Amino acid sequence: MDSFSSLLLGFQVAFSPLNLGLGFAGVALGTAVGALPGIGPINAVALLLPLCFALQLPPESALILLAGIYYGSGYGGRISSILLNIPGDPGLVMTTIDGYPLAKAGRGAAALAISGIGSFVGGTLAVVLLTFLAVPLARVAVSFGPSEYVALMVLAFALLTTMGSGNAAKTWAAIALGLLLAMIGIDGGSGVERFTFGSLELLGGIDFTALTIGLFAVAEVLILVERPLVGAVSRLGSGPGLRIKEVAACLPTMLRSTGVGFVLGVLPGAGASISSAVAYTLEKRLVDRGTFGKGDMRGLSAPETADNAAQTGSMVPMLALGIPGSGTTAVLLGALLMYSITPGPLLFTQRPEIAWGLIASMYIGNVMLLVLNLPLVGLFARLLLVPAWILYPGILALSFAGVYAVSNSHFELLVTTVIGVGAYLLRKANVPLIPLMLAFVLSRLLEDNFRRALSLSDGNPVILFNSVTSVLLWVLAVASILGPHVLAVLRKRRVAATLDG
Amino acid sequence: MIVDRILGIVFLAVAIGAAWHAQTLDVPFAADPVGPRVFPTLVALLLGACGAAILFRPQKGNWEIGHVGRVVLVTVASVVYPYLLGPIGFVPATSCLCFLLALAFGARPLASAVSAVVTSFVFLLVIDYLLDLPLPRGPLGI
Amino acid sequence: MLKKGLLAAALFLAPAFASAQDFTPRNPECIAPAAPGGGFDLTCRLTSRMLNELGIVDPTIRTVNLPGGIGAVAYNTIQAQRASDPNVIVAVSTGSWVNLAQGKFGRFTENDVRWLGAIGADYGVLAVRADSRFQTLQDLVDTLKSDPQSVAIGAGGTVGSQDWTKPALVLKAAGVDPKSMRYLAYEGGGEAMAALLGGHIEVFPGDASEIRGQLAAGEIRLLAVFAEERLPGELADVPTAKEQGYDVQWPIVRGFYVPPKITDEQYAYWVDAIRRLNADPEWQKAREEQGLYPYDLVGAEFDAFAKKQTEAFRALAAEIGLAAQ
Repeated sequence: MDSFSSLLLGFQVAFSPLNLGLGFAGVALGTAVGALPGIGPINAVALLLPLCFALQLPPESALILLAGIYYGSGYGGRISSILLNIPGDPGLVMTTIDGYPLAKAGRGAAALAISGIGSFVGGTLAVVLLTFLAVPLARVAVSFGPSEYVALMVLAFALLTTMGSGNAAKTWAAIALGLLLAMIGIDGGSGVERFTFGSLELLGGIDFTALTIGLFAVAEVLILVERPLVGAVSRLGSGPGLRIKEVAACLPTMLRSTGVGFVLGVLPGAGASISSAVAYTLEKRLVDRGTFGKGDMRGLSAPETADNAAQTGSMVPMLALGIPGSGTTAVLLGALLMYSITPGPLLFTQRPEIAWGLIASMYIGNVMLLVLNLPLVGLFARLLLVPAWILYPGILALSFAGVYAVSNSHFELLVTTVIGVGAYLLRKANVPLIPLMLAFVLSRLLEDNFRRALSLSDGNPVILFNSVTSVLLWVLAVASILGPHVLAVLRKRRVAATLDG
Repeated sequence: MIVDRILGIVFLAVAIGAAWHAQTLDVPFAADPVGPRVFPTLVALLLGACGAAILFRPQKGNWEIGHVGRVVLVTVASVVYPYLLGPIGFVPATSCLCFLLALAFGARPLASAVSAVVTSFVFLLVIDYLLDLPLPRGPLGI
Repeated sequence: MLKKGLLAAALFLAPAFASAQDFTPRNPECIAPAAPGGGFDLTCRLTSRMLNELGIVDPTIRTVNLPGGIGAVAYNTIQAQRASDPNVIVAVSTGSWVNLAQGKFGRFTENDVRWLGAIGADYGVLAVRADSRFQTLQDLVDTLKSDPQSVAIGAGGTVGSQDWTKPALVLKAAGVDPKSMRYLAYEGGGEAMAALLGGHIEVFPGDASEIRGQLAAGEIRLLAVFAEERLPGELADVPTAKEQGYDVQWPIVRGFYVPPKITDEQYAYWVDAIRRLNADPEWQKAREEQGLYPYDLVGAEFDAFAKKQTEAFRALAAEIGLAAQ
C-alpha cells in the first residue's frame, strides 16, 4: 500500500463519529490542561491513559484522544505565556519573548491568533512530512550518535549566547547557572551523586516543571507585586486585530521554523525542548531589524510553529521504530503497550488502522484546534480583564497546586519558591533567565553525549568530528559565533570604501 | 554599581563552592574517561570568570526598590504554604495563600477573602475531581 | 454493566473463607514512587483499577504520585509520616532493591517495611542488532574476555543500576572484572534502543517488555534472557543465560510494600487481596497484555524474597566496588 491509499484508510478510521468526537474532546481538554501551568501534557496524557483503558475504547480511538491532548496542550500553554509572561512548559519559554510585548501593547488577541495560525501551519506541514517520510527519517534519526549530538548541542549553545541582551558576562553567568542546576542529582555515567548535599529529594535532580514555574511564574508575581499598579489590567483590545498582511509577512518564518522544528523533533531525546529556541534565534539572525523582543509577529510565530512541528516530529521515531522521542511520546508508547500492541517497525503493516488512523487524526486535530481556538482568542484575551489581585494569586496557587498534585512533595514546592525568589533577584540584577532555562535543558544532553562519545573513543577527542554531519554542525556553530562579527567588519569596510569612493 | 558588585561576589562564591564540590566527588571507579568532575569544574570556571567580570566591571544602574514588604509577604506565604497543606487541607491552605497574595496586590480584605475561597474550591474541583489527581484533605475533608 | 453485575454477584457468592473481613480500608491509596507515565505509575493505576473492578477491594483506590530520588522519597515518607497507615500500598520493583542495597534510600533498610507481594515480573534480556557479529552469548563473552573494552554496552540506567548490573553479572560469571566494561548510560530504554539501532552501541541489556516491537520486526536479536527457564510465548526460542553456561538471572519483579507498623490483620487483608488478584483470569489476561510474566510470590514468602534479594545486591555492590556511600 502506498502512502496515499493508506492515508485514505486512516481518514476512514479518523472520520468515524466516535473518533471525531474523541479527537475533539482531546484537543479541547488538551487546550484546557495546557493552560494550567504545572500540569502539562505528559501528566495529562498519563492520567487519561487508564481512563481510556477502563472505558474499553478501541486502541486507535484511545490513541487519537491522547494525541489530541498532546497537541491541544501546546495551544493552551501559549495563553498564559503570551498574556501573562508565564510559560508553563519549557517549550513555551520562547513564546513569551515577543508574545508578552504584543499583549502589553494591547494586541493580546492578535498575538494569540498568529500563534494559533503558526501552530496550525507547523503542525499540519509536519504531519505531511510525517506521512511521506516517517520511515526514512527515522533511520536518519537513529544514525545520530553521541558525536553528532555534541555538535548539535554546541550549535544550540552558540545560538543561545546571542540571545542575551546587553551584558555578555551576565548572559554567560546565566548559562553557567543553568548548567550547574542541571547537574544536581545522580550522574548517569558514574552513578555518583552531585550537588545533592545529602538530600534524598535531590537525587533525581531538579524537576523541569518546578524550574519553569519558579523561574517564570513565581518571579513574575514577585516582580509585579513589588509594583502592583503596573498590573495587567486595562490593556485589552486597545491595539488593532491581526491583519492579513501580518500573517503573510510571517509565512516565510513559519515555513523555515516548521523545518527546524520537525528535524529537531525527529531526533530522539533532543528535539522538542530546543526546537523553539533554535527556530527563534535563527529567525532573529535572518530577518530581525531590531524589532525582535519588542513584539514582532515573526518572533512569536517562529517558536510557536517550531514547537508544534517538533511535537509532530517526535512521533516519527515512535511510529516508525517504536522509540519514544520525548516524554509524552513515551507515555503514548506505554498506551500502545497496554493494548498489547507492539509499537515498532511493523505497526504500519500489521495494524495500519492504528498508525494511519492516528496520522489522519492529526490532520483533523490541527484543523479542529484552529477552529476551536481562533474564535476564542478574544475570550481568552479577556483573561486580562480579571483584576490583578484575583488573577496573580490564582496563577500562583494553581501552579503550586499543579506541582503538588503530581509530586505530593513539600520539598518540590519549596524548591519552586526558592528558585522563584532567586530568579526574582537575578531579574532585578538584569541577569537574563531564558538562557538559564535553555542551558538547563541542554546541559545533560551536552555532557552525557560528550562523555558517551569519549567513552566510545577511549578519550580520543577526534571522535567528535568523525562524521560529515557532525563536521557540518561544527562549521555551523563556528559560523554562528563568528558570523555577526565578520559581517560587522565587512559592513564597516564597505562603508569605509563608499566613503573613500 | 553596588548590585553588580554583590552579584559578582555571589557568583564567585557559588563558583568556588561548585568547583570545590566537584573535586570532592568520590568516584568508585572510572566508568568513562571523562568522569563526573570535569563538567562541573569547567562550568564553575566559567561562572567564576563571569562573576569576576561583573565584579570588576559593574554596570551602571540602580536597584529599583518598590514595595519590599509585599515581596516578603508573598515569599513567606509561599514558604509556609507547603507546610500547611497536609495538616489543614488543600482548600484552607490555598485560601490563606490566595488571601495574603490578594492583600499584597492591594485588594480589600473582604474581597480578598471571598476570591481566595472561591479560587481554592475551583482548583479543588478541577484538579482533584476532574483530573483525578488527589489533593491533600484536612480535618474538614477539603 | 452486565459484566459488573456478574462480578458483584460472583463476589457475593464467593465462599467466606477468603479472610475474616474485619478490616476494610478507607480511602485507600496506591503510591507510585515516580511521576505519572512511568512503570510504577502504570503498575499502580492498573492494579488498583483491577482490584476495584474485580470487586477484591471495594473502596476506590486512588493513585498518588510520589516521585523523587528514584523511590527514596516514597520510602522515607512512609517511614516518617505513614508508618502505621493501613490504607496505603506502595509500588516496588527489583530496581528499588538495587538502590536500597546501595544505601540510596537513606538510613532505612529492607527491614523497615512489610513486603506485600508480587503481581508479575519482566525479565532482563541481552539485545544486539540483527546484523551483529555476536550470534550467541558465548561469542560475546569470548570477545569480552579477550578485550572487555572492545564492546560498547549501553542502556537506560546509570552505572550501578539494574541495566548496568545485568551485563556486569555476566562478566563476573565469566571471570572478567565488571569494572572494565565499556558502559554508556542513556536517559531511558528508548534512547538506548535508538543507539542500538543506529549502531552506536553493540549490546543493549534491556527488559523483555521494551524490546518486543523491534524483535518482532527483525531489527534486533536476543542473545539471552536472564530467566531461570525459557520464557513462554514470543521469546520461547531465546535461550536463557543459564543454559548457555552463565547462571545469571534477572527478573524485574513488580509488586508492593506496605507500611511497617500496620497490624497483622491489616497485612493479611492486603496479602489476601493480591493473592486473589493473581488468581483471577481477567487480571492474568491484563498482566500478559502488559508484557508481564506470572510471578506469584505473596506475603511472608515475598517478604523473605525481598530481603534475600536486597542482601544479595548489597554483597554484589560491595564486591564490585559500588559500596554504599
